[in-house]
Amino acid sequence: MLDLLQPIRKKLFLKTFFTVLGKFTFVALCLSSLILLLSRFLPIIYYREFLIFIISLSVLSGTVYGIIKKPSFYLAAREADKYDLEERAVTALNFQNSHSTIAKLQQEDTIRLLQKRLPFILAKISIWPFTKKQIYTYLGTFLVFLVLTVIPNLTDDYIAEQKIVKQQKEQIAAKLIKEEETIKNNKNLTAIQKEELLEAVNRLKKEIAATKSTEEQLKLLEKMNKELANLEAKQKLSQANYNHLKKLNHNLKNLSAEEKEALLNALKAIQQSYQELAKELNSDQAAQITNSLQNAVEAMQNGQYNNFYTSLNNAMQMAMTNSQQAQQMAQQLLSTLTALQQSQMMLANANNNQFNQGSNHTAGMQSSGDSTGSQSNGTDDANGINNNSNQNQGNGTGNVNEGNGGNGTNGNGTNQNGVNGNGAGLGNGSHLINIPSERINSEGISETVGGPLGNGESQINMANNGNIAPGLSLSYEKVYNDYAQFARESIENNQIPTDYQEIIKAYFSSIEP
Amino acid sequence: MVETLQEIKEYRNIINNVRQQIEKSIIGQKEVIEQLLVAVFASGHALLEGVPGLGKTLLVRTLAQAFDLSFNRIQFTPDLMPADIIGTNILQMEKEKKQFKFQNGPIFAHVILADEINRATPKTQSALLESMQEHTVSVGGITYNLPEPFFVLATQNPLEQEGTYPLPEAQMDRFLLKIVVPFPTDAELKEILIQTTSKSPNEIDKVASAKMIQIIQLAAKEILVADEVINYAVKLILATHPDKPSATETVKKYVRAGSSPRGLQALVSAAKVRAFIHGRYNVSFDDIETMAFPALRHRILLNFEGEANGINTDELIQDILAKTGK
Repeated sequence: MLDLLQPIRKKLFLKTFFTVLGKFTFVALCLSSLILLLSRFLPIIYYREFLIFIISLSVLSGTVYGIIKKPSFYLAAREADKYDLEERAVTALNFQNSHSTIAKLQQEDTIRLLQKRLPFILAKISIWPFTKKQIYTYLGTFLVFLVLTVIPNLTDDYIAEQKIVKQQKEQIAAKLIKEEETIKNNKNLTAIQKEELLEAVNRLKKEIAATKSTEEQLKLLEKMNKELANLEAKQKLSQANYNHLKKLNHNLKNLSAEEKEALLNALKAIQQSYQELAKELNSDQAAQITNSLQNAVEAMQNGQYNNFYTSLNNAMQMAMTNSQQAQQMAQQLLSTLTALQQSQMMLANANNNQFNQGSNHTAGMQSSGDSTGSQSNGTDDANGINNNSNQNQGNGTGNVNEGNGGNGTNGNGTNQNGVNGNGAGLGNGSHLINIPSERINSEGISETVGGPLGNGESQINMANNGNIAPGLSLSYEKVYNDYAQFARESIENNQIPTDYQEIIKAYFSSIEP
Repeated sequence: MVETLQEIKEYRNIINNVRQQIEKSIIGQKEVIEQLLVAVFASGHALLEGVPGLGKTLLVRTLAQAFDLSFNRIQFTPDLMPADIIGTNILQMEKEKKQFKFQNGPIFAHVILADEINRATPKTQSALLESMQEHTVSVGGITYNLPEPFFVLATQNPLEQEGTYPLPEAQMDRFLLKIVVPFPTDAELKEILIQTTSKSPNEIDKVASAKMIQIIQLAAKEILVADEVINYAVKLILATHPDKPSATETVKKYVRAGSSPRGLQALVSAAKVRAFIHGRYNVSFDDIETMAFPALRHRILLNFEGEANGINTDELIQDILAKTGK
């Protein structure tokens, strides 16, 4: 009995499968057409993706459902009964487990009749389930769908724009989160620095959330990218500055009492000079520089080395802000820088004396014609680390010749906040720092760090002849390459604002060994 | 219990023979004959309704002749008393002793023709209730069994309503089928005319014994009914009730009460016999639909609006059949 119903069941399966698939596809087409129509009046982002999803889902669901919804033998029997079997097949299935004589007779009767009529029944059952009306409806819907797909949608441009904005927003948001995490996890940043940077991140978040129009969003996103790059640069600079200060602080602490005294005296002399100059020119700025130098002197006396550097940097920055006054004070600043050079020299010596170790290349950083300055505000903490708020980068050019004051030329400086600064270049000729190895009575490696800086060149030669440790020496090329590499990467990663990129490139070209 | 195919074939032959014997004297009316046979083999009673002169009485008498069964005809009149039907205790002198003895009424026969049943008073009509349902008669505290098989084949005239007493619902429900005898077609009329005016009536042979009828009745009960078919029958019955959700609009509008469960039993029993007669071992939807008319038409009670609008219950059944899904 079941064997006879099996071919009917197979045909019914195909019929059901096509019916279900057809219905699901039809529904998907209707929905898709509706969405396409709506998308012409309302900008629906990702409507194409949505259409693909709907159609794919419908076809998939239809296929799965069609396969799952396999017709039972009962349905096959019902189908067979439609062809003059007068409910014989259904009854036979119902009573297939009955052992009564009448049930057996009924089964035999059904099988006999089914065998006779099976070819006819199979021929009559069509696997194509659709009527003409349905076919026309389906085709009509498909046509509508096709027309709506082919005719260009005027909202597409807007949607594309929106997609870009959304993607950029997501990127910015990801960057902001990353930046936030980096700031939070950066142990080298002080609480205030962290707070300041996090505040900047939050401000960016709020700004991006507040935008409404696409144009506004695009503009803001562009701005955000720049600010994010600035933030990253700022963080890196903070980190570099911190490391630098830490080393300097370390070195300064290790100066001998005589050396500290010498440094202090030199500073006092400079401060005195500025004081006189301030009186002479009646300049507020000179007075401020004098104050900063005074602070530096006091910090030095109190052993607050971070404050010492901060005050000294402030004095230098102020000195470079006004080009006219800088011209007049060039001589004085020359002295300042000379004194600084001396202090660095002493720092290097102190390093050698104290540790007999050769990490001297760090001391040379201050002697370059291009100065990377840091202005720090705050109080010296227990560890002597300053809290930093502003980072000023400037290209000061000039040659410092030990012992001989030179003619300075104006230098150009850029401020991290986007303000171009003018600094004074000081000195002429070459600057050579020799640190005799006799000081520590040992043999060492001589290192020369220098190069064409601005109009002049700066060179520091450090000798370490110690017997205890051979020390470490770095060539100018190595140092140059490292920094140039870092600068190139920063430019490539868009961490440097566009306006500054050319300046940085020009700078590195000018100091190329 | 049916044991072999041969038995089934034999039973069918008997039924066909009975049909042939009836068709000897009744021209046309094939459906009526079939329905009457269905009523007999489904162990039920039938009410034949038709205008006078259509051969209702002849049909029943011919049927009784074809079976080897006792036959009594009771002409119902308004003055007919229950005792006239079921019998009564009469005082008799027997061996110089006076005693009451029960005198059987005409009800004591296998086939009872209750002619023009609606002319008797309800009291007399009610005398049939017990005998029809229980196949027994109770008189003076004693119950008497009626011979088996026992059929009441009643007739009534739908037109002449003056001086008639419509059968109460309870009694109507006792009839398995209400068979409407239609007016013969032109060809049938011609044949009737030829047969009844030119030659002597055909002899009716007795082709089935009482025992055989009972066997066939049991065999017919064994006919299989698929769940699907039973469900359909149940749906039909429910659809006759105006208070059921499956009732059609016309039913809700014109029907006071639908068919009783006895109606469902009658429908399925009749369908089984029809399937048996048609050579099948199972009931089909067609059997149910065909037998729905005689089995349900007297069980659907019209409301005032239905009566006033002259609604025919056959129309309602047709509507129910059309609107009830299988």
